[in-house]
Amino acid sequence: MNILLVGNPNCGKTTLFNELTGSFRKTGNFAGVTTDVKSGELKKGKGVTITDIPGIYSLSPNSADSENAVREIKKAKADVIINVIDGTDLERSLYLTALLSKQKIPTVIAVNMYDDLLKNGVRIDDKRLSTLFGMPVVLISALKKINLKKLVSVAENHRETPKINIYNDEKEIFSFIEKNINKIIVKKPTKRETLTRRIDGVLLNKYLGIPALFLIITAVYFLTFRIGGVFTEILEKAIDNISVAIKTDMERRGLSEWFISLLTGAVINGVGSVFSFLPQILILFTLMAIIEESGYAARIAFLTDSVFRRVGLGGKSVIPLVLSCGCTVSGITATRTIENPTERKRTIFLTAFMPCGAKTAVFGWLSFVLFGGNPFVPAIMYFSGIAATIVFGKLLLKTDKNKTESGFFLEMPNYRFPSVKDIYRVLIDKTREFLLKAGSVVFLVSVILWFLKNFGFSGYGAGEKSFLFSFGNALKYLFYPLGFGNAEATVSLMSGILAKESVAETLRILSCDVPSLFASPFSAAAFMAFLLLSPPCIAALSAARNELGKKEFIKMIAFQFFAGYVVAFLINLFGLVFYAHGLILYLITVIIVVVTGILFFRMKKRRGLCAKKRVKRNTTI
Amino acid sequence: MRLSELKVGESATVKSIGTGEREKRRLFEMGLTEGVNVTVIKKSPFGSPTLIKVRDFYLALRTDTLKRITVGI
Repeated sequence: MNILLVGNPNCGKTTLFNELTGSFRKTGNFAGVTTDVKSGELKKGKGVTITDIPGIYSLSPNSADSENAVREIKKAKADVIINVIDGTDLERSLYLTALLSKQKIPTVIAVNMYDDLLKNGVRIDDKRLSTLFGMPVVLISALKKINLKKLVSVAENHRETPKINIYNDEKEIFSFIEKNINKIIVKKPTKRETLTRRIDGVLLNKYLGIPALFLIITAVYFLTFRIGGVFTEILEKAIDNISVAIKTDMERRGLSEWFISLLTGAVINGVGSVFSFLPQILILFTLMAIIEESGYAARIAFLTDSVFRRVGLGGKSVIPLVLSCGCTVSGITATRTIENPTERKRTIFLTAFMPCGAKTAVFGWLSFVLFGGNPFVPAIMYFSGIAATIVFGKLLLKTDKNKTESGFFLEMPNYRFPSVKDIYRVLIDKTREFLLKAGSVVFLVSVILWFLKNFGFSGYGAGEKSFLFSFGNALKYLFYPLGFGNAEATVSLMSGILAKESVAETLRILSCDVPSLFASPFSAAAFMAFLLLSPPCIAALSAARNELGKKEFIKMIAFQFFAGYVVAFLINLFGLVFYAHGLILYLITVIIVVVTGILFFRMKKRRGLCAKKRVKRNTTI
Repeated sequence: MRLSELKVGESATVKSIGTGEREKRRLFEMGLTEGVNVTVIKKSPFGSPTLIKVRDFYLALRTDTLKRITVGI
């Protein structure tokens, strides 16, 4: 039997889904968290499948995620629909219920947040509601697990399609609801609502709002890097000790050199370097989950929308950008809530500029190895990511031909105390994801790299003649203007295609003196800038390809590579003022760039002038 | 008068929505219909968007949209 959960965004569908199926789907207190369709088996078996879909307000698709949702409904594979509605927001929620009454699928209304209603002394006449809409009604609380069994049994036994004709034209729906709402529920602001308004009095305050935002963001960084950093160091030392211990043990036993190298160098150190960042990743994800679960994420969008408009994005792009700080893949999928297609495209292009968990891990390691563990380095990278998003966002906006304005709708949910259970679920999910990635991709990369580094045409121990070096030597010239024109840095960046974590791990494997790989501290910064801005890992690339057409996808990769290269180049160039290395070569490059720049702007000016002349001609007539 | 002209704390009834068809429909589906009562709750520090209360929930809309919605007391 197939049960489909349908409801507005943020009505508790996913919490219900998690409770019924015992799974760990991510929830969050803003629209746009569930972006795809997912099914699970009902916990007590009996062959019942429950499907969760993104929240929708109606059956006319307005954005990519609602398209998915509506498609699932129209597929008509569901035997029963459970229409989850927020009991504290009945009037608006019933619009969708009315629409569902015409879908010819047996539907059960599940009024959620029943615990909230009880607490506030609000009574719902469920029998009235049931009669009006021709559907059985069950009052539930997905969070507090009230009446869930009852809901399931009602749903399983309900086979009648709705028979009542509520409306003939959709425009009549709200009048119908308005006429009857007072018979169903006596409206009263809940305590939660009042408290929310009070809190927003501070967090959305004209003067306090933005400072509060900065404070919160700084707190997130501090906890992730300072506190998390401590644990990372401990783990790294532990892994090092294990590696050394195993190495000496194996040497004593007389195992072959290459095997020892493979095990300690590639496997333990390689996979270990990723493991050691688990504390930072966990802290970051916990904090972000708290921001999402509590409802503060919508406040962030509210406060920053104006600013983001100037770079062609909007408040709704903030959530994807913030999610990208955890993992670019979630950021890209979250863009499905952005209605305007060009705004959405631009957001996808720019999300990769935000330092993801993996990149942050690499920055953390690099700041340790190159800058003595200076805590400002990761913070600078975050601000650079934001700066790049702004600058390149503006650039993208200028090159975008149509500037269609899109509607902006942000629902401001009531604040919710983050449920420990949900946060725990997110953590388990992310840890599993992270470990799987480390266990598979990074492991694979480690082994492959180890092989390429240690083997050449002459067999094991090829050293400078290994495959890796030959490959790196060929490509390194590309990065010469950036200050790290060597095989090791080149190859590390290439390994980043599979997973950004590998960059740190590759550098570690390939070089015993990492600082020497960079011509100057600015070259190291250039390296990090390139890592930050260049195209993301394969997982993110495939997520992007999913959302963009082929042409746009290729444009994105070119754009990101260009951004990374140019910025890194400029940083390195700036560093030249202090460190003169290979000055002549750089001077030549500078001249080329300047000349190209002049030609480019000349071309633009000419085009601009032509357009102006054309307009003049048309208006004088 | 326009919804964008309402001050924080003021309420009014929506008279007409002059946005594009698509946006109008979206607003409609969210409960912002002609004849519904709205209250301005808060304005963003930068002026846009503005938080309004419609039916039982809170919606933030940009000033451009609010300029196109006419209301009456």
